[in-house]
Amino acid sequence: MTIRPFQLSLLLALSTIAPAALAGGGNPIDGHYRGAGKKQVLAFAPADDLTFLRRVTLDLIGKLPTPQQIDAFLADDSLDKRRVYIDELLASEAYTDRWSYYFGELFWNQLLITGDIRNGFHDKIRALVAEDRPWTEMAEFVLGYTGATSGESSPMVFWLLEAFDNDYRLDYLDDQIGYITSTFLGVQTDCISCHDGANHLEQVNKGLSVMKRKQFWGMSAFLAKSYFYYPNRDNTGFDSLELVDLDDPGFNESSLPLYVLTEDQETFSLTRPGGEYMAESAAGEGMRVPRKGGMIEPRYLFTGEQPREGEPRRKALTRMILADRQFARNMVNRMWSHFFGEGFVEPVTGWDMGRIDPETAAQFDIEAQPRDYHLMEALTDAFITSGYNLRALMRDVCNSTLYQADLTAGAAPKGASYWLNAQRTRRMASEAIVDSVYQILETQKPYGVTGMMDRTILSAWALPGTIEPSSQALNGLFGTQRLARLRQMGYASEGDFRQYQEEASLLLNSFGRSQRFDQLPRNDEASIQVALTMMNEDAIHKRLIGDERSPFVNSQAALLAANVHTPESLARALFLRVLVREPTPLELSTAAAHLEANANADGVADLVWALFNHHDFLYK
Amino acid sequence: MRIDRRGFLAGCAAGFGCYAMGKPAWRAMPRLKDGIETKNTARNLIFVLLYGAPSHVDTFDLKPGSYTPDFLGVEDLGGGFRWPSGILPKLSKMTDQFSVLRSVNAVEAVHERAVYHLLTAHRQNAALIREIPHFASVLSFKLAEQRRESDSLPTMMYIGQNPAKNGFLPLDHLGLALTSDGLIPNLNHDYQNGQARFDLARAMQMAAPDRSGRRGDHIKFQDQARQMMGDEELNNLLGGDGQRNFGLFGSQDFPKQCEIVSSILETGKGARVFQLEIGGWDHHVDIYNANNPLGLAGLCGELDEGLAYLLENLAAKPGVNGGSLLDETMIVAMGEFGRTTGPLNTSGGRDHYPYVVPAFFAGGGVAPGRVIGESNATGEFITDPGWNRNRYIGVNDVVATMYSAMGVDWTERVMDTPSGRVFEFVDENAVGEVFAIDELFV
Repeated sequence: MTIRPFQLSLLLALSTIAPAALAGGGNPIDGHYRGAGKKQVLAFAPADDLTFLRRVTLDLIGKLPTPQQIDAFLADDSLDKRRVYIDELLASEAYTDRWSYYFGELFWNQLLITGDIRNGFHDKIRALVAEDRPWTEMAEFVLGYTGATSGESSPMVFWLLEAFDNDYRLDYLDDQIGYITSTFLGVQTDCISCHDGANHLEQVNKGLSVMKRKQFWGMSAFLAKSYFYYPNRDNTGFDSLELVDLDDPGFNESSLPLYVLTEDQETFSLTRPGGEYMAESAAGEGMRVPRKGGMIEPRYLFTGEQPREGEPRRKALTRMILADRQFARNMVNRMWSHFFGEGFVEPVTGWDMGRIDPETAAQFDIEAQPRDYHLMEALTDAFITSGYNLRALMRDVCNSTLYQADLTAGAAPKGASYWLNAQRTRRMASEAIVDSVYQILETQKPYGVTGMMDRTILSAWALPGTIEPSSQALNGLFGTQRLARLRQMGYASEGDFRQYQEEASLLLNSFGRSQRFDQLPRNDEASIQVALTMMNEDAIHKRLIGDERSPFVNSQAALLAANVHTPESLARALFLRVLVREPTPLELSTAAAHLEANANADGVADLVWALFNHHDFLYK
Repeated sequence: MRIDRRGFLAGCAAGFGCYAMGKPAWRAMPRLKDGIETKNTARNLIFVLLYGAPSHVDTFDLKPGSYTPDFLGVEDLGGGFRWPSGILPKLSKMTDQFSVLRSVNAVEAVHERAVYHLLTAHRQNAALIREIPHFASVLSFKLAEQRRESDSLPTMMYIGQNPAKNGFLPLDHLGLALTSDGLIPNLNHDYQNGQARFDLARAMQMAAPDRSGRRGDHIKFQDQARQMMGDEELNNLLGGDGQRNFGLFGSQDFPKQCEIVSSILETGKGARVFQLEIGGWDHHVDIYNANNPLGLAGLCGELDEGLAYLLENLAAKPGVNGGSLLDETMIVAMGEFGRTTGPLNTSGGRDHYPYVVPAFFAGGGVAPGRVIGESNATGEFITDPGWNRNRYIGVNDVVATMYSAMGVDWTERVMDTPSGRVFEFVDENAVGEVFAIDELFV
């Protein structure tokens, strides 16, 4: 590998300048590797500018850098241009799109009957992300929400995940605790919702293996005062449903009796329900093995802590979760997994609290679970100190020498950090592929989203759910209003609009985006189908080699014909545009020879097609 | 030695084809039980998922009442076959070619969980969801040693639901998805000068500096895809204009699926385990609307056409072992659970009901013309399991029966899973011993 002047200067800089000066305030990751006896940070060769640019743009905003961004970055020779670029990305609208989507996916935000509830929650998340609100605030909003499903920005989809699939109340409470612990703490506690850990989980999860089912019920009991109810008996639609806590001081006793969705799956109780977790159930009641434990007091699973005097249960649970260090670790780990392709603990919902640190793990005669425990804890400290600020965490990660290191196979020196040696190649996310393809071909048009037809949505990351974009979005618009809006959006006809939405949706699904309604996680694995889609799918290739060729392809062919571009310069430009890297000499001569022999739009299209199907396009 | 899944895949990529690998990568635990003998009567398996769960009392376990509409054509065909000849007319004339189980208890009553249970023989457990594979993936894994160089299709092909995928097994056993009308999307490169384009891509790929790891997986699948694209016979069969299928609910395509699977089996390109699917059976509303193509009558019409086609067509084609293709191909059709019995609900439909679920069995060593097990007069509960174990038949027993017919010991276990938890092909840990249903076989 040749070292470019900039890299050399960075290497020198790293060896002479204190890390604080580089990161503008002490990068916890660099700091970790500079600790006593840890000189290896100096051995990390930095990635070249283009590799860094592609990596950080994909990770922070989920799409490839534009040619303008590439040119500007390469032309910039200031020493802190990487830091400046990271800050630009963090401040961008695209960042808000990408990370709103991230949290929408985390909470399985999805359409419930109408788009309004989903869209309201989506907008709330967007506002929290855009305004740089702390992770604690977002969690508190979701966990502590009380009120109507249809309330503006209601997070009720999270609470309704199982409510109507699973209409046995105790099962519902248990399921919801399972969601809460895996989402906010990274711990899947479902195992002990059916049986004690002993004799079941010794090989699976040390922490859970010493816990009892009764302790899990103690967690569920925090939700025992929470009910869904219909304030208006005549209106039992989804949107009129409310979530209420019987022990909330704001709860109005005079509104009793409530029309409450309770233990009986088919009927509604007209009396005030018990509001306790009575662990008594028989076989056939719900899906779990019978319970026998009487009335259960709320106790936090990991500490045994109980609500304070007069403290409503759900508020107490929220308080305990937010105060739990694992709550911060969980988010640090999720972020690390996002940026490095593998978390300190993987899968990110697979934490074993019995192996959380070397000391605890020693009691079980086993090694600690997290890779690089001390680094994880240092980052967790930094995250908490920053006030649970997500941008600050990402800024630390992206500015670290480790993140910016050269990951080319074999580049990491022997003995370098695990994170350098580990296999961290990942495929682009489905949404990133679609955004990037449309960006490269300059064919992005506004998406049609149910309930959001008045907005201009130009990125797959800005979609509020995974059944969008959809031609159904038109349903709320009629007559001339519909036509006028379609024209504004740049569609020639309704059919044109519909086809565009269906094609984009098809592509997003083909590349394995998550399906929030079925709670199917995203699938980034290689497959025959993905290979076939990249090679042959008309939704992409009609705009490239087919009959709806994008003006971009024609314009490049014209530049070639007019000798503004030589075959070499065009080949290089297309490599930069699609793969965001320089071609090797052999690649350049191969590509240029093809353009030489086919100095027309077909030749340009062929090359772009070949680059789309190149493994360096899909993989980062 | 614990093998890391990712490392294992990298090894596969380097060797270009895990199919050829001699030994399983995992330490299989010796069986704890002696005397497990598999039936080994089938070479191929066609599993038809009736997704959404058909009403058992209106189909394979017919229980007519005052609510039963005339068009069901209730008929007693003898041999225990009380049959809705109005909506399953072709099958009504073929009861000597298949058998029906009427004593399965599905346990789960939520679609997602019940389908998962049926397709994996494990109850859904969040901690293990990433590693438990579809039973067809396990079959693909077990049958890998029997593959030939010339096999251009993967062992497993599926249509519709596949929530478990290949689990911890290598990606080779993920199976190939077909569209609901039985095609492979994007199998054709419908643009001029394809060859020049592919040559260019190939040259660029070979010139690329890094072709390791997951990049290598992608290249491997690209090569497999190219091999399939280049197979003219396959292309004629599975290519075509199937790419555009935006249908969201149900399907009118089941007979076509059957036609294509029958052709694939005939070509002998290595595909042996199939999942087909008819969706839309979730008839909470308006189940007896004869004009609705997705109502009971409409879907039964498709099912009838498709299954009758398979029985007839496979019987007429030669297998590889002397008999017909039907003789060596087991066909199983069932839903993930049953539906509520008696009069309809207030919306004119039937709701979820897990306690009585019938299943259709034919071919591949299945003794035809039998009705096994019985439910009470309304179809509300099982009165006679009808098998020698004298208990309800569980979903796991049904899956064990398919394994057994395919010559795979369903009690096999894998010790070195990613979670460290033992993987049983069919979960016995949770439900006790599991058995193949002897009564189905000759």
